[in-house]
Amino acid sequence: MKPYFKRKEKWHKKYLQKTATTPMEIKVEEVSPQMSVIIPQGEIDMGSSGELRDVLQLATKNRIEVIIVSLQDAGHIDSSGIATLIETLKKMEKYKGQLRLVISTKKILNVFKIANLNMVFKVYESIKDAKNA
Amino acid sequence: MAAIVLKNISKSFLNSKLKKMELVLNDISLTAHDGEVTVLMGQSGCGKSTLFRILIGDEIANEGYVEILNKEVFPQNKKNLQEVKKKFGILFQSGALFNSMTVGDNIAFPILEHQPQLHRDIIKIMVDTKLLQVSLDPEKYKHKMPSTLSGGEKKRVGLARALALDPQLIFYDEPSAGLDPIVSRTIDKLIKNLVKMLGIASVVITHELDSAFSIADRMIILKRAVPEHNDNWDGTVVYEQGTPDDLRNSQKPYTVEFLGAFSNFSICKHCRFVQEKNFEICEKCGKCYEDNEDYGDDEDEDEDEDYEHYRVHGYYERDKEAQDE
Repeated sequence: MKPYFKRKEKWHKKYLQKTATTPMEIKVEEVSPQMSVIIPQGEIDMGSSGELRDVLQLATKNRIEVIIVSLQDAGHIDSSGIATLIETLKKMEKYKGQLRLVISTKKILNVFKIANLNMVFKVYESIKDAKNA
Repeated sequence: MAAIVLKNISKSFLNSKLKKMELVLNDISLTAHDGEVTVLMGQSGCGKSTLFRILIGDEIANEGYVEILNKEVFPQNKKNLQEVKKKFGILFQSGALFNSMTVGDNIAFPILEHQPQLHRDIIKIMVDTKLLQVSLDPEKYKHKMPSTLSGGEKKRVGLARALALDPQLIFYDEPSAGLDPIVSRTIDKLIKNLVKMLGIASVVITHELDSAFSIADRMIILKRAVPEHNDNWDGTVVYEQGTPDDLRNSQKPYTVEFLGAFSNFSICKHCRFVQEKNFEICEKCGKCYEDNEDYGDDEDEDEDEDYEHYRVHGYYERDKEAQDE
């Protein structure tokens, strides 16, 4: 990392304490010991993607084989949210786990399409389809 | 919804030789809407860049009202301007990359500035994704220095940096100037895709008519008063605005002069081939003008597929077929 960014990081510590991140509720449903459904509710943006990352990190730490992330209740996802999902996908590939996404809105699917990522993830229309796949 | 509202903007500069104020922008009012590409056109020196600088908050207007993304930023509202600046991206004419940083650091720069709480691993993946969006291979490009890039690559990296914070509005200053037709077309497609798929509002300043007509939903022509034209105003005004078709059929003398030879031609909506006005059958793709009027979604999908092929393989499949033949 460049020294400039290191300096910036220190400078931002004060700033970080002042700006609270957007609160987001995340439901976690354990279908079986090897399958979890994660349902983030609200907008997944640069302020709230950290919370989703924490939940996903815990799941990958426990080596859950199938993680289903449902974006049905997420109004919006930005590139930090997508980066969080890619990071999880990479971690799961190491222990041959599967990350399945549930996307029902065109708006969110378009965000994946524009970065050519709809082919990288396994996308389903409903949680039921994702569970049975 | 309007992404930008400009009302009665005036700006004058001091002419040090004549020792008097010279009016550059005279009562400029315009709007740019969400999910649309608005193209600003005008002759060199007519004040396009001054208007651009007023929009991005680098220049202060003498009078008027500026609203960006439903927030008033002028008259002087620094707090709103700082907030709005996080929500728009700018692609400068030269790319304006930091020469001391690698391509990856250049793209990460706005993220680290505005969203420092993000984990560094996440930022690295975001940088890769942004490079992929502009059809550049992350592994190949992210460690390069800007001085080793070509003009087109610099512009694409500049665009990746403009996209870094997922903006709701992007300003493009001459996005396809000095680029070869293929790269220029790729950037035009990218602008259109961003607008179509993500609903990002775009404001484009360009001189290239072909590019302007292929991307614009709305066009605005600025005109500076010239004594020879007997113009009864000072400075630059909005001469005409409307859809590309409105301007193509315009009878106003300056619009006809500005669009020049272009106004005698039409563009085939299937293959973007420029030919005689109101042509019956396109010389290149063989589709008729009336078909062009019913420009359907199917054709759009075909174009998208073709473009996807270009992004993945670096060439258009139809070109290779033609070469093989």
